[in-house]
Amino acid sequence: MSVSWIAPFALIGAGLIALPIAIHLLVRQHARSLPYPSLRFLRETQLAAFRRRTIQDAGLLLCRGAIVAVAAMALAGPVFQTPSRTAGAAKRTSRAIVLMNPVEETVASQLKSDAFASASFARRVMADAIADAIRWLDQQPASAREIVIAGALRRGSITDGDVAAIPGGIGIRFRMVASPAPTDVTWPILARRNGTVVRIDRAVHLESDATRVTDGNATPVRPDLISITARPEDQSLADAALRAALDAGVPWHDFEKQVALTWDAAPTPPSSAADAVMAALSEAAGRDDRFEPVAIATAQLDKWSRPPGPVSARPGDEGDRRWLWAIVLLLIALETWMRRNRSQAVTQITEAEARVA
Amino acid sequence: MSRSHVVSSSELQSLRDLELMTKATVEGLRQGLHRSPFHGYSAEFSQYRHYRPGDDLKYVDWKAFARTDRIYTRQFRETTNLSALFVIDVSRSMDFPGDRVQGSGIGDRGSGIQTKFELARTVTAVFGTLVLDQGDAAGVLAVDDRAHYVPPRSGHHHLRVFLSELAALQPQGAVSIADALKRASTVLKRRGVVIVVSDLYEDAAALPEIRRLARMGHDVVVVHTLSREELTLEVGGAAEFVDLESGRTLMVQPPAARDSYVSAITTWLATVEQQLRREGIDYLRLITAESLEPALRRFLVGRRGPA
Repeated sequence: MSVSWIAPFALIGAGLIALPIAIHLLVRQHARSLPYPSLRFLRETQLAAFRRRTIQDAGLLLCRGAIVAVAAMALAGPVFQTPSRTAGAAKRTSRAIVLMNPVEETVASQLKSDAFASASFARRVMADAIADAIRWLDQQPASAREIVIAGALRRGSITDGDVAAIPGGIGIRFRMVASPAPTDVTWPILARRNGTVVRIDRAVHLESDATRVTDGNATPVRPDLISITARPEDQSLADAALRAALDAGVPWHDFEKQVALTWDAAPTPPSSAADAVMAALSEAAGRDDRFEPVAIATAQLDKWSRPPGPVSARPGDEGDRRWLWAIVLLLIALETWMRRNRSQAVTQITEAEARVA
Repeated sequence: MSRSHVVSSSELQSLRDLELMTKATVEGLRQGLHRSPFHGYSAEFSQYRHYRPGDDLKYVDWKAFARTDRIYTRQFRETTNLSALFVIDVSRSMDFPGDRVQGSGIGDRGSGIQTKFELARTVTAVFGTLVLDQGDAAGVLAVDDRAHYVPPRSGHHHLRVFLSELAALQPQGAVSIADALKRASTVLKRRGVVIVVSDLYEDAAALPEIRRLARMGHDVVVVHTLSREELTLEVGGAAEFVDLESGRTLMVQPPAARDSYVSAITTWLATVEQQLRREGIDYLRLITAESLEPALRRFLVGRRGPA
């Protein structure tokens, strides 16, 4: 069995144990000193604020210290992780559903049906939606936690960075809903024509499972740029380049804005994206197919997926603090009893001294 | 050392018309104001006694012989001078209420006397001056880490020595007054007056010594010096009381402890006075806050009595 804390910073309050001791010492020191001819007719006044520096009732001090310590622990919210409790928590799942398109809300309701707690998040940028989902999961009670990303899962809509931002304890699942909508994009490539490197902005029509590419205008570019060199009429090369760029994690929305396949080779080849594109080009050089899928490859999705991690206490838990509060009440009762006993004893001693005097 | 250092001239002038008389008979060396245990041949007739061979015939009362047919010799009362020894308590408890106590709710004394020791020194100076002025002998004895002793002598030239020694005394000792009393019993060779000035907090040791001096024939006077604060515990607020002599401490809240304290010290004072008076020892209680002159006047007048 282990113990985790919902609000561990509250344990700092245990430092308050020093408070009664400090008060005792400070008050004792502030008592002024008064030279007097003889103490033979004086009797010590039994006042708490003027007791001696030495601890007179260690049991009472211990009890008071325990009250402060246990109260601090109760505020910190301990959760005792017993095996049965862990197993019970693992059976329930808190599920955050990230929707790639708000119209997919019906799918979300299906995903919510078997969850212990669930919520859906839809933002224009995937990273923002995932961040919202993580924040929500952090507030949930002890349970298995997972993020389900539902949508058309179009290439470029999710990147390695988005997935890496999800903490390890949160499971990841993907749910493909419908197909990516056909999209028209401008696909710039560089080509060598008559010994000169030119840029060609090709109009590309992306459909659910195929890409149709039409030719575009060619614009000369700087010759020192390394480029994907291909014949203009080689449609398969363009398709392969597009697929490779998306698979390499170039975000789709970024990809639309940039001249993606130009890069400065000097001093070193810049990125894995470039290598991937080059490899794809090499692979596609011998093919002549026009059908390239635009959805994220299943292999990639499997690679990103993972089950939920071990269950731990969350801030939303009540924890076991109620037991500690009960102990605090018992200790207060004990302290009251000890204090009364002590005052009675002091009274008896004082009376005895008075009789002797 | 002028006498004004230890006693003001106003205090002395107001008591000039009085003398410090002894109630007992004392053994002096010279003619004086006080009764002697010896019968001599002065002017004051004392008694007859039967003639014994060797008596001077000029003191035989021939008229009585003619009437009674018996020979009587006239005796006259001899008077002698007084030898007074002042035994002063110089323990630390006499240094109260001192400067360290100012501002603590203790204080507000009307007279110029601040501490019990100053009161003791003033009383000693007044009595000593009176004794010397009336032609008697005065000495002083105090014991702290060493003995401060001025043997009783008479004469105005001795007043200077007496007051100088008195002014040099400081309440810094940790020795009980009982030690000084023991020493007094050894240094006093003839019966005289012993005036003990103390707060008597070491009464368990001091009272037996005082009784011993009285039983040795000395006329013992105890001047019990106290401060008003000691009698009433007029201290503001709770404090850690520190015993001036032992250094022992005690946490006390005076309002809570006052009743029992006043009751205890009142009982103690009554007990001490009763014990002393039972032994025929004169007891004078002086309080720092009270005017000194009326108390001394009452005391001196009371001691005149029938000579």
